[in-house]
Amino acid sequence: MLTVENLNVTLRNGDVQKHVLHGVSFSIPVGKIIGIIGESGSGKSVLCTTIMQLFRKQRQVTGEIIYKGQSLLDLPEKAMSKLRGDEMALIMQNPMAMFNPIVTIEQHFVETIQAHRKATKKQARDQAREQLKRFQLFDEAVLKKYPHELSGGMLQRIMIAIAASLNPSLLLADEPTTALDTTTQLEILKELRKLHGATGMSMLVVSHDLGVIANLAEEIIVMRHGVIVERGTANHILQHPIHPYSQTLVAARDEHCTLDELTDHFDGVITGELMLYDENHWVRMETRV
Amino acid sequence: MGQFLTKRLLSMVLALWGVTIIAFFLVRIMPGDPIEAYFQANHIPVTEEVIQQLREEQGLNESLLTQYVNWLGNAVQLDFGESFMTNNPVIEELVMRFGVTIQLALVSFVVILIICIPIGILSAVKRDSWFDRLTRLTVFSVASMPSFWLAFVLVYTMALKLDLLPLMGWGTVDMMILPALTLALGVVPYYVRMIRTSMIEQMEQPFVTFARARGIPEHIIVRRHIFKGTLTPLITSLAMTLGVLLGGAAIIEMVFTIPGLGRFIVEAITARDYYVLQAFIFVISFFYIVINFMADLVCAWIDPRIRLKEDAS
Amino acid sequence: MKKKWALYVSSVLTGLLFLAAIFSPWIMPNDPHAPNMVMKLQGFSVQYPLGTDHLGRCVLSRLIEGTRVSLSIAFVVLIATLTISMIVGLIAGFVGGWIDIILMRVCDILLAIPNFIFALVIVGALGAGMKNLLIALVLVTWVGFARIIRNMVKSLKETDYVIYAHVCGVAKWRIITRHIVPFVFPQMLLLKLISLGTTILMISELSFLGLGVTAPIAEWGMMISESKTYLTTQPELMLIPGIMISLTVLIFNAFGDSLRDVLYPKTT
Repeated sequence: MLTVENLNVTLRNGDVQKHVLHGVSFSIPVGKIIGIIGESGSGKSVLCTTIMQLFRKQRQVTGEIIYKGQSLLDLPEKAMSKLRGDEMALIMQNPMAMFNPIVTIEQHFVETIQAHRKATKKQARDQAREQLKRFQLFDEAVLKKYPHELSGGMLQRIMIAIAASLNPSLLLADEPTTALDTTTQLEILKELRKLHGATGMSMLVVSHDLGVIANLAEEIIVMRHGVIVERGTANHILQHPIHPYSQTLVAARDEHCTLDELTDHFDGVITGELMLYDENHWVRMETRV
Repeated sequence: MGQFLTKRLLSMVLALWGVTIIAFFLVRIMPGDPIEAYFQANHIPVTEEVIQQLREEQGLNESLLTQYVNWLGNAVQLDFGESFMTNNPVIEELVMRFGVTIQLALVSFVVILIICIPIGILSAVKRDSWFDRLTRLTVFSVASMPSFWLAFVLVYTMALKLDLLPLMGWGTVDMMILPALTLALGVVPYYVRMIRTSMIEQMEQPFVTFARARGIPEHIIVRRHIFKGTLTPLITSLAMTLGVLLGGAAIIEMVFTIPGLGRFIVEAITARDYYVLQAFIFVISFFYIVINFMADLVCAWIDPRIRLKEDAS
Repeated sequence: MKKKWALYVSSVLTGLLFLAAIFSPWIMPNDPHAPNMVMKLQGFSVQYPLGTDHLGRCVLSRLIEGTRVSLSIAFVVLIATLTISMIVGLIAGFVGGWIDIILMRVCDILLAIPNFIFALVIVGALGAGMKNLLIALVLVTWVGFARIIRNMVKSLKETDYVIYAHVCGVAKWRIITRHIVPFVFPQMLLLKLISLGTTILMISELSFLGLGVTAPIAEWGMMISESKTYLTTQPELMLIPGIMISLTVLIFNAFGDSLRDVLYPKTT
């Protein structure tokens, strides 16, 4: 459903340029959950926002992003704006920062719904209430509250609720659990799985926490420094990681160290091409002559 | 919200009281004696006896504290004594001039809003475009110009050379245009800059990205998520500006010969009309404090975090 | 790149202004005070490059003297307010408690009176003249800065390194001079430099109203006021001092802004 081909992204900030994604290619089949694991700086967040075609003016993008047969890179802004929220939705980390502190939760819901559907305020409000119920938020008073009055976990759940309200075909989740405590993390993961089960929407989950990815993903992509290092079904990657970097990541989870501790020792430079190692399992390695 | 209100009201009352002290003592602390100074400034020769007699009459021989209390008591009833210059009750003189000043202040205020808000928003939204750069350059230049000089330049071009608008005076609508414009231009640079900076700050907030990610149309984002966030500091500043405008733009009023409060006060200063000065400080500061109080309320209504902060502290 | 260039240009121009102010008696072509009714209201000439005013005085010379007058007043105001507001701000911020509350309430009340009007009233009550002008300007401007300093000091007090110094038993006096002042002072100096332009505008406004510098001392605002009656016949008499004021304020503002951009760049 979504295919990314040879994506190269350069960030432009004034005079400074930073090439953050190099030749990234993968696809998200219909109804599957793909997980991207990588440290901070691996370019995974940029990947999400680039798929959504946000920050167009500050980025130089080459390659292809094809969604349901349409090239997103060539799509004019107005048309892209219609896709956002309706066809593909994005939820981000640090939910507290994602909501406008002087706007009520209800407003956030209503404006999203009204941006894509013809609905009166009352209709939109009713829809919002329905959505909240779907996600275990039974107290309607939540709607009238302002973001700072709610906890991170609740806000994250509301973000998911808003994202799901228009029944998108693709959900991009950028570090959906990072700013939350452990118990809440598990709850959010459960919600996401429930959502997938109920609607069959495709998901791209991005995280630096392998536990999160292992919990949700059917296919895993390992990224480092803007390059895909290894790619394959979840079982393959988790049980038989081939690339030394992937092995480090899995080891970090198994040995309960922090990712930073282990990858600090990993000085390896990523070279080589992605080669088909096994059935649906690609690894980046040097070509053997 | 209740706690917030009470705290603010208390602050306001305290500030008002403080202002009465300053209004009274500021004038008294000045060298000399009000009566003497008045006669001296107006070059009226007078005997010592007359001075003493007047001192008795005006109650200036009492202790400073008693004088203050008396003055305060009268002030609350809007009795500020009589102006030395005109021998009319101060309050009458003030009211007569204040009406004019209020009109000018309100018109200028509206002009400021009309000019600054669209330009500020556009400058931010079209950041670094030719419009933005031109705006910033213009604004920077205008900010360096003294208001009275700008007034004369405008008068020279509009009234004398091009004969578009009347030179001076007060009464008709077109007489208000140049003075209001000059007054507005005095603060336009400040507000355009402020709105622009504020908007840019807001535009970089994560929740704006999230709004775009939800496909919210750009004009709604600009209005509700970007501009609304700039309102709090904007309203606070505007309240201050309104207060200053109400104080009478002495210079503009003199240049355009407008019978407003500012001009009257300058005359009072030159004539050492102490009672007028005291009343003036009191009344203007009163309005200033009240306007700021109301602005604070509006801000708290817009931004719920403000209410919370006050309740907690 | 562009920022440094702006700083260089504006500092050179600022320097020129200061040089003009310091060496004014020597660069003036004529005596700025001596009236010469025969030569009054002349246009531009070699001897009087910018013409003469209604008393026959050389406009250029008066302009140059005005530079010295405005800059020196603005400078004295800067130093005086810097001192006063630093002291008050430091005490209020560092000591805290009752002193802080009282000082801040005083500031609140003083701030409740609009700046210009306050200065107007003070000069009015004291009488015109340079000394009183200085007093009025200082009294009006120190309040806002004291506030800012107090807030800065307050937040600095909470920083880890100050708390640590405290815990180590470093004397309060030392903490202030070693840790707090070096941080606050440069920022305040920068703010004050940026406000120099505003001060000069206020000087000219008060002088325009006749409440500032007294004749025959030349001051740009006063020159404009004196030339009011000649608006129709000799508009340049009003135009020139005004342009001078605008240029000076512009240069100072540019200097302050570019200095700030170089020292404390805003990263987007």
